[in-house]
Amino acid sequence: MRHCLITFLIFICRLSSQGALSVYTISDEDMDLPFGGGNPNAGDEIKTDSISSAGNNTFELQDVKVYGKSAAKRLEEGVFSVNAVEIAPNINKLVTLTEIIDRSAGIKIRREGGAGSEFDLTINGMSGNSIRYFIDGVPLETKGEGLTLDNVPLNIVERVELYKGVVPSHLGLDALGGAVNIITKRQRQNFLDASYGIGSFCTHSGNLTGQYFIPGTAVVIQPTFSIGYSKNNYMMKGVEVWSDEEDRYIFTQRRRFHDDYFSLFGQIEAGVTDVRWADRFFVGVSYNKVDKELQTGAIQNKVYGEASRHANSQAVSARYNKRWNRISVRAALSYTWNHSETVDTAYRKYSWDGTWLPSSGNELNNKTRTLRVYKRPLTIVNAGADYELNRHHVFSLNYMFNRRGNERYDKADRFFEPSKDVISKHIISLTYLQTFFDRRWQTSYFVKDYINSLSIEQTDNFTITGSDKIDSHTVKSYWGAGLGSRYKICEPLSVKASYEHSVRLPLSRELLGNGTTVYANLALNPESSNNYNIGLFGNVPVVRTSQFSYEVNGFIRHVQNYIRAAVSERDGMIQYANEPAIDIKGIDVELSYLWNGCLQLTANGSWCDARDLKKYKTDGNPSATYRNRVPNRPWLFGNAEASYTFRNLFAKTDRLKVGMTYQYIHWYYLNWETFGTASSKARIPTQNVTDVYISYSWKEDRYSLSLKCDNIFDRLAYDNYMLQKPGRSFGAKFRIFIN
Amino acid sequence: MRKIKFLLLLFISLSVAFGMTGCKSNDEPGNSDGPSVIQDYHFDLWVALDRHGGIGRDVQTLVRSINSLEADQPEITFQGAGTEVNSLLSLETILKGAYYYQVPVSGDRFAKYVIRNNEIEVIKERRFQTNTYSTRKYTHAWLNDNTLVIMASNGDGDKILWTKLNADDMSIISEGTLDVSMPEGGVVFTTSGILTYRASDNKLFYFYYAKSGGKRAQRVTPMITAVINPVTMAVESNTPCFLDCEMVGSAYGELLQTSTFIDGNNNLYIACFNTDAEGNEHSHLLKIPAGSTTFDRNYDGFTADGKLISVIYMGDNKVMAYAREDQRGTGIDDFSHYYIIIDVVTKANSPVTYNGQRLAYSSGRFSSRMAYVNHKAYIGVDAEGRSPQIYIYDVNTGKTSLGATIAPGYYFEQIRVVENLR
Repeated sequence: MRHCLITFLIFICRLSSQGALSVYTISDEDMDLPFGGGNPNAGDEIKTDSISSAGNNTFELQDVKVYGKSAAKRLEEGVFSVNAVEIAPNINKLVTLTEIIDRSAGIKIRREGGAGSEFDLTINGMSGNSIRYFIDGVPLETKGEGLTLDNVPLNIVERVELYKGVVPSHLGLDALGGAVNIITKRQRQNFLDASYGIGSFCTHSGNLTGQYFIPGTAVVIQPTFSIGYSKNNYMMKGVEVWSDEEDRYIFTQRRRFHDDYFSLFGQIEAGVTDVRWADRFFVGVSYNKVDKELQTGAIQNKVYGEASRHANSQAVSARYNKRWNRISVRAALSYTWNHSETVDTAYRKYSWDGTWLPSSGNELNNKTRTLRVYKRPLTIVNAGADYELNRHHVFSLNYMFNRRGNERYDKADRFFEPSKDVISKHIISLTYLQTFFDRRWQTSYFVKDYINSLSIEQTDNFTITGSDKIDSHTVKSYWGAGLGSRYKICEPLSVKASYEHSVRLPLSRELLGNGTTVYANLALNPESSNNYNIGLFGNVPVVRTSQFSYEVNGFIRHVQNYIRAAVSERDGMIQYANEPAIDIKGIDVELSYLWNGCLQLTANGSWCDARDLKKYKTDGNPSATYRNRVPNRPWLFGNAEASYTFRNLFAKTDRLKVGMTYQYIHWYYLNWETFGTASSKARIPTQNVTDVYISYSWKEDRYSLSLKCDNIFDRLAYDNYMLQKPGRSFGAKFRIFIN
Repeated sequence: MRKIKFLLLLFISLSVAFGMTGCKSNDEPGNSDGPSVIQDYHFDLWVALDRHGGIGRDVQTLVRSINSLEADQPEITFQGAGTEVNSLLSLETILKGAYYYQVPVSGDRFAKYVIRNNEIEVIKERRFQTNTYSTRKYTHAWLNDNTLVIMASNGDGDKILWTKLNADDMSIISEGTLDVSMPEGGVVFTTSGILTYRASDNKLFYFYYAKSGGKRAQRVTPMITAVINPVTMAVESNTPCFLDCEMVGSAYGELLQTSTFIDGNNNLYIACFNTDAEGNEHSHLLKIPAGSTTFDRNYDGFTADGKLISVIYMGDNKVMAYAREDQRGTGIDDFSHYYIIIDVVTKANSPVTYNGQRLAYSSGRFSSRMAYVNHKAYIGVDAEGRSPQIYIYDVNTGKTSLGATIAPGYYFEQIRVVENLR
């Protein structure tokens, strides 16, 4: 470490012959400096402060400050509205990516229950399914349908990029409200990273990742293995149970008893780096398995005790990158076999006390026994090329092909009519990036073409799914375009703005249902949106050892054919439906203060107002809900976090970090707010959830142990109407990192 | 003496007046077979937002209690008014007296509710025992003021379940499976069927049919009438209809709309339809004469065009019916639905008119905007380009007058007459 510092100081001195304040840029050749903490990267700025000249060739150094901006920070200061969440500060904690992202400004994740339950991610007011998920720029679904933000191994993740509204075209899918891009670690060293976590409700998680360079070759092998399990047997408060003594239903608390979740993910990738014909070329295979018992329907008074869902996926993939002087190309190809089964064969009617009565029908909908099988093979081709005309102008071309099959049959219901559906998408995008004034002004222009091909066979439940209203084979094309610009006035003040007209084609889940809690809606139309963002951000050094940073982002979304999840309390089912027009506007603010590298305070808040612009009802008469706030979505929420890090406490290079997070979500109505008396209306109550944690690492982060308590005050927490989340819980995690 | 005469006349007049108001309508001349007079009642108006309810659609549903639907009432709005019910109650419901009875959205119990002061009060709930039913998919009949019979096919569709409830405390009196076998060629029974009770001969009539399997199952038998002993629930006869037809609205019993009634002469009627080779539906109003358990082959009371959707008996052989003119569209939102008055004796089918003009066509295939009370039928028209409007048909005079107006923007679903709680 000391060697590094000295080397770096010499490097600074070599560059500076003027003294006073100078700004330099690290070149690629200088990149090998192994920094602790945030690694500086090519393009990072280095400031030397108070360097006075004592002669022609010698300098007296009073103080040297190094600001090595991380890739995440640089991304946030780019042209797009984006949160870049570093995983390193959380990697020792027993948390999932979902929980980490949920603390980010403008982001809201709504869970249906505990570990492994369905969740919905919202970015700046756009629904979770408007958001596309990627891993290193490739759709996350290539790893299998079971792999979500919940079970991506934390150990492999460097950072998560959360694009709000406008999405760069190299993420080639049809994201409408934003995109989540998981960036994995790319270390040039052998390592082994293993962790094990244990928590309340019989929760266990294990991760093992590594990297091995075969000596004397350019070949590298990267295995990843992850396993997770939870019984999710947390206490449900205020649930109804029949009391024979009192001859009525009573409200009481009972543990969940049929909500086990098991997740397994394994992947091995092998490839070469930095060879003549490729910068990186990897091939990989992966396997993913998820077993989930179903405890409730879309509301918690639909209690299940036997139904379950099982999914497994296998995937093969290849990816390639190469840069030749001004041209760089990239390509990714994958094929994924997805197989899932929803088992609903018990004729039982369960209650929250775990008892059951014989039923006249199955659990999910009181009909005949079903063992529904879904096979959804997925093919993804993603290719692109960048051409750098000069340092001011870069052109990019990207193509994405996405083909999803959907074969359904039933092993138990002899009357079920099997069907095979196919959804194909071709998305072509062209981007032009210009940079002026020594990188202070950057602008990106892009145009996209979306081609959607649909082949639908399923015709069951046509009154609900609308299968009788659509052509079984259709091909349609849609256009989108946008731009983003950023101008850095000075370090404490930069401004950026972006606009995109985007189109989102319905997801297979929205269009075809999920076989359990989501009905198909085959008549769904694509969403389209005009997204506007404007933001201010900057870093303000407060005193010598502290820094204050801020970001304010305002946004407007004009959405046509907005796809909204409508909960059916009657059937305990969800169905996605088009709202003709939605107008969303909002603002999110994030403030951060860092003192002496020890104390970190962060707070963010978001306000988001979505209004229905549907003037007319389906029958053509005026609609009563015109200009009303769109129901069943959080519109005011915020997070705060405080942490303090003690260094060298018991031994050199050890760290002890204690922290607390707080989350507030204001209550909201399940249905349109204007109608009906307030006392009779269903609402999702306010959430005040506080978590605390402590983590200790030693031997330069080689070993770490962390403890946490979530929802320490055991507050009732609902993200969805009558779907209770866990109360107070504890967790511990041990991690070892060998390199 | 004149004073005494006057007092005597006054006493007699008051006595007669008191006696009249205290009597049931069947004591009145000209309305001998009319439904009961209710002294103290209000109307519950059900509206939906987003889209029309019915057929399993879940929409925000509001209920507002209104004392009068006369034209002098202010425009009825649901902004900040009414009870939001859809998290507990379904649009498909049983109503008797002051109470709503349902298998609520939790789908695990029988329950009795009252909507009062913009709140839903739970009067009594009872967990299922043996037979289980789905929300909105069952049929029902009242044997008397306190005994309610629920019926539906089971999950596999191969049995018909029945449960007899004491409506006072919702206790299960008895339950079982109807002793009918699957007709030849049939795989499943219709979801709910239609159940009705005729007190004159103390029999339950259960109308059902059998279908082929699969999601697009086809009817393979005509409507079948099972005549049931209400005490033992034994099937006394099981007779296919002479006409190859099926009941209207059989998936939801009579929870949304009513398809049966019994006239003052104890004839039982049921609305049904068949489909021709071109796929056009033709409706019929068939009759099981008093004392008989089979249909009168020579009777069809529906002589208008289109599909008969819902019927209510108003006394004096008059029926208010909600029908659809198929040429104007068969979709839920199509403005193709209209009201007619059927005379069950003469079989005259006359469109309801106001000021000499036929009422506008309404949207709402599954709407139930007809209610009858005290010789008046209240009907709701949800027409294109105008606010939902209530009309009042006076059975005694045969005249239609304008009623209250509902603010625009809602899907007007139901008018229910609810007795006030004392």
